[in-house]
Amino acid sequence: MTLNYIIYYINYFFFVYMFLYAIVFFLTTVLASLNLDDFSIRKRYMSYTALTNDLNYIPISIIIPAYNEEVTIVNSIESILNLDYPEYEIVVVNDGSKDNTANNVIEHFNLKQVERPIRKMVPSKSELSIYENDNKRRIVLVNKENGGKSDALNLGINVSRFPVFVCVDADSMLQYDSLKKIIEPFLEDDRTIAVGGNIKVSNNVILDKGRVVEMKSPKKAIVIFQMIEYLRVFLNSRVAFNGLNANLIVSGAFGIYSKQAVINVGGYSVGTIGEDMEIIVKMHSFYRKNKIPYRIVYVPDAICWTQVPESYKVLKRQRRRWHIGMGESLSNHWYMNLNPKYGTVGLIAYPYFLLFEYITPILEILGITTIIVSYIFDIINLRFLLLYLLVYIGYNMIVSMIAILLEKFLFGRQIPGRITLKLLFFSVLESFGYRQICSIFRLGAFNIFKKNEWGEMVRIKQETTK
Amino acid sequence: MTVYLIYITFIIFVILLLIIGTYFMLALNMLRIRSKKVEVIASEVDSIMRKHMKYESIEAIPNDEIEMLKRKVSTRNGLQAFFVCYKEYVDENGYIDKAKDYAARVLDYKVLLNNRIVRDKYRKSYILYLLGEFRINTKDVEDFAIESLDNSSIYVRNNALRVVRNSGNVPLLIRAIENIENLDHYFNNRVLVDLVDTFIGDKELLDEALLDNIDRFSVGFRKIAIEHFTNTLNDKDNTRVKILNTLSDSKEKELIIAATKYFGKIIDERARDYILTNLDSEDWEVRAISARVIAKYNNKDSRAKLLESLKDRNYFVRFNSAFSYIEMEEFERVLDEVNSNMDDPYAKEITIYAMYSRKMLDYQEYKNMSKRLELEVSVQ
Repeated sequence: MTLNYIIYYINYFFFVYMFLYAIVFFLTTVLASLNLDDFSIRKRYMSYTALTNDLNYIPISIIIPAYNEEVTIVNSIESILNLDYPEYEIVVVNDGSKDNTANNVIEHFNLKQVERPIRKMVPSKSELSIYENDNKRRIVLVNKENGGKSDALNLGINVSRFPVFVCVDADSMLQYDSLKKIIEPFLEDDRTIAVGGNIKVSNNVILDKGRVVEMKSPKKAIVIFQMIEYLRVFLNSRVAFNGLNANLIVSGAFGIYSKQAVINVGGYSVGTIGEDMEIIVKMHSFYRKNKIPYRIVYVPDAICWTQVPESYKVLKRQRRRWHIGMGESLSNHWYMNLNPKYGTVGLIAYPYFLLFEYITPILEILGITTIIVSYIFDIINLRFLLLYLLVYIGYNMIVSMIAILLEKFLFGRQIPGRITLKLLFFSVLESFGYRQICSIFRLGAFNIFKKNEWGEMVRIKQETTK
Repeated sequence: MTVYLIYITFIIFVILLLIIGTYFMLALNMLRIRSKKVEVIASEVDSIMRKHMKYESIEAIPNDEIEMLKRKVSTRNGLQAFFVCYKEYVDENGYIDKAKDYAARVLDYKVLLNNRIVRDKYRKSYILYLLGEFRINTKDVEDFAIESLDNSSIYVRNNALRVVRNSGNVPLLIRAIENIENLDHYFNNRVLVDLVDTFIGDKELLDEALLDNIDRFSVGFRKIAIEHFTNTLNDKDNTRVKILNTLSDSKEKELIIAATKYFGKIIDERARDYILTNLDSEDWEVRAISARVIAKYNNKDSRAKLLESLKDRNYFVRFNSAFSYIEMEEFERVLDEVNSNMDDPYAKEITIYAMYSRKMLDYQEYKNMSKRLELEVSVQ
């Protein structure tokens, strides 16, 4: 009898947790919806902060850290060369790739070996060789020993020449107008130190010079599920936390940073897995601790297209790595948790990430297992089981559906109706299997015996019209 | 009881979220329907507008036709349609005065002020945007734009600047600058330079007005004015003299840097001595920019001074000095300096790099010289 009681209360705990989870997502959805509605009107009826004279734009260094990216690196650079922005340089940091990443770049863009002194503003391994082109649009390739993504980014910062830098993943392609959009917050407020862009799934997209030419209907369920997940993140929590200046992540796939602000916090932390979260949390910490006004902004219409894994094996590695990264940042900055000194970051964002992102996979898997087992052994009744499933599945489904509708509302013309319908249908299926699989993958982050390294992904050449 | 409470809360949440979803779907459909309506009206307005623009002057257009058009554009969709047609016309023909006069005859400031195209929160900003695009510059509009510079929204302020820029009215621009100087709101420096650079009106008159008023401006706006003269390559003598005075007299780092950059684009021998003096400035940024710009003022004194600044404690000063020096000096002489006279290893290193960078040395020569330098340093 006592055991039954204990199990009943455990189930009750899981239930309350899921309910709180639902409340939090309800609030972020409402906040995000209000913000995005406002954003869409602002964009539709107001000229954005565009400059007319090209001379007045802030020059940008685009840093691409690359490890074994021979399949996608040339396409990625090509897409960047077509950006609608007056002045920028491309710095590719080859982090000891074992494939032909460096040679592909050197040959395709006709780079020549150069030597130049590099000023170490943030700690990084030294360069082995540098290659540059003679064109007006400078492409720099820096070869270095393998040291991880953070180290590659730090060397990129040391090599870069301009006051702001964009960090782009080698498998990502920027939309033609993305730089003009992502630089806007820097023109609107001089307290801006970092801006994140919107990451979209490119597996089913054909791009030409940074423009979407065709959006095919995705065929693989794993891709569709990830599309829904990306929408939920980028059109829900990111937008909601943006309003509070408390975003803890600017996606590593596409973000822009003030170089000085990154130098202020000592650059990317070498050895960390989730460098994108760690740098942002460090910035929040530094600026709040020193009471320096700052803004970290998210811009939903600065778009970057990225490939997502098409196999569960690769997805497993990716999710595990992301979750380890989140755990590292949260543990490195534990002092921020519920600390009023860190304002909305300490009181809202940190506890949210801890309770509703980091420990969620443990509670989710434990919860669903215990509840089903309890029902089988008659410890809970059918009503309790259904109520739990309703909260667990139904709620997630509705939040996903709203994210899909928001996407349609914001980027309606780009997305064919049949894709929207497909996404809506799969948002129902997501909770029956995929969500649990991802939680199990994320549980891998708690396995301390497994080695952590660069996230290897099977690359597929991005479809372009060429 | 708890279970029922959870049921009810859950149902409320779901209903609210469904309402949000429905709102977005409805809004999307409304937008589609509205843009179709606007398209239909725009096709009508376009033919009327093109016919009107064929008249020799805007005054020659019959009153009844203008009144009819006015009625069409008095609605929300009508105004949108007129804006679409006007933008298309301006894109094809530029911001010609005839288009401006036409917009002024068809539209009334009050019509725009009362439009309900966008929700209240953004109405002011959108009205300013339209006023700027239609280039309506009556006294009311000008006052409205100036007053809007003191708005807490950056979008309102930026669109107010757009009205000022597109007005073609130089005194209004000076008035706007004076107002901004007294406000606490943030205006981005680059946005302000862009405003002045792309002013639609008599640019010579604008430059004269800026020069006449520059001494009254704050450091920030003096810098903006100098950057504008640099961007537009204004090389008139009175401009040069004014900026020369800034270079010689100012103690403000930002102004010295802006003035030095100006003389990097507009070459004036009178600037040389000041730039050379600034190579001894206490501020490394002033030294660095002076080292870069002095390359345009080649003579014995400049070269001699650069040989000194090659030994500067700051990397960027050494870097710029090296590139300027090799640009000014003959190859053999540079080589001679490096091999025989330079005793500072950092100066030597950066000069060798600059020579290699400018293709005065090939890769092997560069590697050999660098290695020799390393040996020398290790022996020392």
